[in-house]
Amino acid sequence: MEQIIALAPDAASAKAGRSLATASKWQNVGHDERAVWGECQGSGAKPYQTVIDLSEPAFKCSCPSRKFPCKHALGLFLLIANQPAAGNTTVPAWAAEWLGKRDSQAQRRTEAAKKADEEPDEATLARRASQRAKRTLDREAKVVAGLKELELWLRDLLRHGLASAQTRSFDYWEQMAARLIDAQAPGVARRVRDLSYLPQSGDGWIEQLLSKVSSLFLLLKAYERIETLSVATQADVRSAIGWSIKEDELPEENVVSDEWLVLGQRTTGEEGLRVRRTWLWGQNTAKGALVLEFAAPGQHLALDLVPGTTVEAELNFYPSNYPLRAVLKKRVNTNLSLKEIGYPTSEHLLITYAEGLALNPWLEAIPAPLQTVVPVHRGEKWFAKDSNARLLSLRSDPASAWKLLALSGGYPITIFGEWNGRSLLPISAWADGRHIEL
Amino acid sequence: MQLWDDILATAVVGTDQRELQLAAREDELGRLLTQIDNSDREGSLLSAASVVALYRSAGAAPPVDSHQLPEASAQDEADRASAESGQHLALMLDGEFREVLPEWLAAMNRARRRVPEEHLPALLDHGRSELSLRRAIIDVSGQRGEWLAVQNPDWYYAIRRDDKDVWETGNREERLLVLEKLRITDPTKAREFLVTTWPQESAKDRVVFLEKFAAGVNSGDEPFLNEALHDRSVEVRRAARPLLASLPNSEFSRRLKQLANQILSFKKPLIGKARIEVTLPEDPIAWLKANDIEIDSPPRNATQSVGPKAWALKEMISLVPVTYWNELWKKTPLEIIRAGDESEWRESFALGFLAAARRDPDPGWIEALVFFTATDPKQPPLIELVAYLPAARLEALSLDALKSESAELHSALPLLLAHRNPWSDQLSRAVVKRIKKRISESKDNVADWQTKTSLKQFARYVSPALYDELASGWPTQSESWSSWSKGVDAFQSPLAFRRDMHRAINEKEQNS
Repeated sequence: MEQIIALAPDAASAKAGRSLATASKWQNVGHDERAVWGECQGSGAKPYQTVIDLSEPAFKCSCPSRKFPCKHALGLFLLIANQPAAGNTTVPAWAAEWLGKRDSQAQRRTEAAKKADEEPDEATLARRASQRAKRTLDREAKVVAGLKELELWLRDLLRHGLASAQTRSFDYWEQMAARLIDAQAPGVARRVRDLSYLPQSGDGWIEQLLSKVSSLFLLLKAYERIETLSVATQADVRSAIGWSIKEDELPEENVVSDEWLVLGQRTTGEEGLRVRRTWLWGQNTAKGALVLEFAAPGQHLALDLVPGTTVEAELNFYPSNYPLRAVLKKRVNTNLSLKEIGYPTSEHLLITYAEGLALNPWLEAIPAPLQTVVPVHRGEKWFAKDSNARLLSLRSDPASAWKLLALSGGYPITIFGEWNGRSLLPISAWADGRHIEL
Repeated sequence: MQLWDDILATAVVGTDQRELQLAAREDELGRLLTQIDNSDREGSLLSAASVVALYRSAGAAPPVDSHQLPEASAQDEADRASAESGQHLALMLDGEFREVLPEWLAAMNRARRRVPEEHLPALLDHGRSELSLRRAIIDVSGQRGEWLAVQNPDWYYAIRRDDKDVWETGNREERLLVLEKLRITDPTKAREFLVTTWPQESAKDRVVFLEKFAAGVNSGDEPFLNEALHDRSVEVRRAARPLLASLPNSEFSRRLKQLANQILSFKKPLIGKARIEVTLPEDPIAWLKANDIEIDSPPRNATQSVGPKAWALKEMISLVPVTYWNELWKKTPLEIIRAGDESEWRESFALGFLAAARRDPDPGWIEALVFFTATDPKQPPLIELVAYLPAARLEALSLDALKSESAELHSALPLLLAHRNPWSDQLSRAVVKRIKKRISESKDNVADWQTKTSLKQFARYVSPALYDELASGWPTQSESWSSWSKGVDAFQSPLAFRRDMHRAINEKEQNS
């Protein structure tokens, strides 16, 4: 259910979808293995016709709404999720027409792709390669120039002392970040932007700032002599700077098959580009993985990884000394079995993090399922207390923190979150055999 | 760590102010740091910082907590409601179908279910502003809810406390809730509570507490109420009078009836209509006072002049339980109302009977007042009085009103709107059938407006088990459908939600 709600383009649509998820609103509802369809009586004389292609899922509705998916599609989806037995299985003509169109489009796309694969004559190949090389070189030059400027900026900051950071205006950080965006180094730009919040973050901010600033320095020094580094470290440096690799260019040897437990999901960015981070855990390889998905306004995020379930799948990892980011390459099977995993104590987590840091000094967060921890609060501050009485800081909003406390009731539970070396951002929890997204 | 402190000290004030001096170390870290080029002041600082920061980060250990964990929550015996029920709750707390929440809470309590833990914080938050739901919220929150409440001052209300403790230490609203609850479950105890603290209460509080006494008022209250009747505060005295008036055998009530008996008589002349004859003393307020009956003075404003006699009569009548007149004169309520209307003091009778009937609603009198005002064009109609009728009576009257095919649907609306209780299947069907018929007649008129807007309220009281039947077969082809569809929608959605929520609460959990 929550998964369907997560498809909603905004909160208003989610609410409207929920109130449309009642049988009375719908006529001629039906579904087969491929699709769901129904007609929704709106205020007009003619009902809206809604189809959902479950294979993606993809949506089609005859209503005039520009939101996607619209409230009718969401409502129908929720309705079927609640009452899977509803309706008949004969596809009405209007739904079949759209599904047929999708099939032929998909076919055309495959053919086009095949065609593109088939006839790359040598001249085309050479032209493409040289274009690509030129683009890379251009960008390379921009990045080098941007990093040069960043170095001067960092040196200047250190000459005047970090204490001066508190008196700097927002523009001071923002201009440097913007400059790095122009220089096509978005990863570095984000790291600079993150610095701007530190001076107002309370105790220990200056140590934090020094750590982050020096890590940036390490990054730009590493980039200066990147050709002397190992291939995997090169990949980490480039990824920290913001070079991205296309999914279809990921090396084949980085494919790992396993039964992946979907630990939790976190979506950031409400209005503009939404980013969904899905954390997975390989049950046989004991490996964590992070799948990032992006949705522009009007687009929806796929439904394929459902927290609390296990997917048998092949993941293709991005090259790294400490590979975490991956794409879902091939799904073999989804089963709903619920398996609880996690580090028995915080020490296990800390050792893993230290190992990761040794391999990739720019590592930002690792997946941290922690078993037998008890959430506790001291005033406004929240912690997870492990079985060795170690207190790990939680950086969660109060609502999630109280939810954790409610789930625990003072008993140990498993909390899953992102560990950044200092604190844990809780994302989900297992309590009493249930997996709950926070 | 000395090394880090040195680096930090330079970084804070800047390399212009202070040169970086690194203490030598005989370990890997120390050897690594010797490779840094010291001639580059900022570069060496940043390089050293990056190495040492990573070293520290990799070795950081969270502190060991010496505090004992707070005692864990007691185990709950009630079954946890399903995930679907949790979603229903979240939807209502989010504002959708919120008016159904009391019904959901009651159904959860009947089924002995408790709220899934992850929804407790939002529900407990909701109870902060919804005082009337607190009791039910506490019941569905179980041990876990109370355990949470102990830890969050915003939720203190959800801690199960001894009534006596709340009464003695709680704030005003909490004390009112206790008094209100006890007046229903154990009125004597409620009185005992109030008596122990009575002298310390402020006049304002004495009034609001007394007002809660109307529920469960009984002869045991009389000595206490008599004391309140002679309170130093005029507001308290005023609040005590109707309570004593509701006790038919109280000394106050008997005195009042005796006086009324002296000045009123029911006369049926040989020719003409029956009427109540009144012989008032010259100064009725003083006369009452001499007999230890205090009433308020007539309001003094220019636009509405009420003579002291008319006023005193009205006040007296409003303090006598209406059924007394039936006993006294052996007449029906309608005969007495009509006889009062024939009197020269008809205004006093109309207002007095109405006030008395509102205070101690006798169904016979309520119906007579409704009937009398509805059939006499001179009277302002008092149809809203039907809300004082018991549920069973409203049910019967509603069915009766719908029985005759010729009667206009909207004439039954006041009854249906007042019937804020679960409707029987029979009534649910009859109402929906009449509305469907009305729509299919395609004779839309202005009077239907009220029916359309009432549909949303009806959805809360019709039987949700009949959903399939009630939600289908609407005359969508009718010409007037477009003006009805919104109202019907507002009827069907909450009804579907109620059906789903009851099913989710009552079906056995599938997984887990």
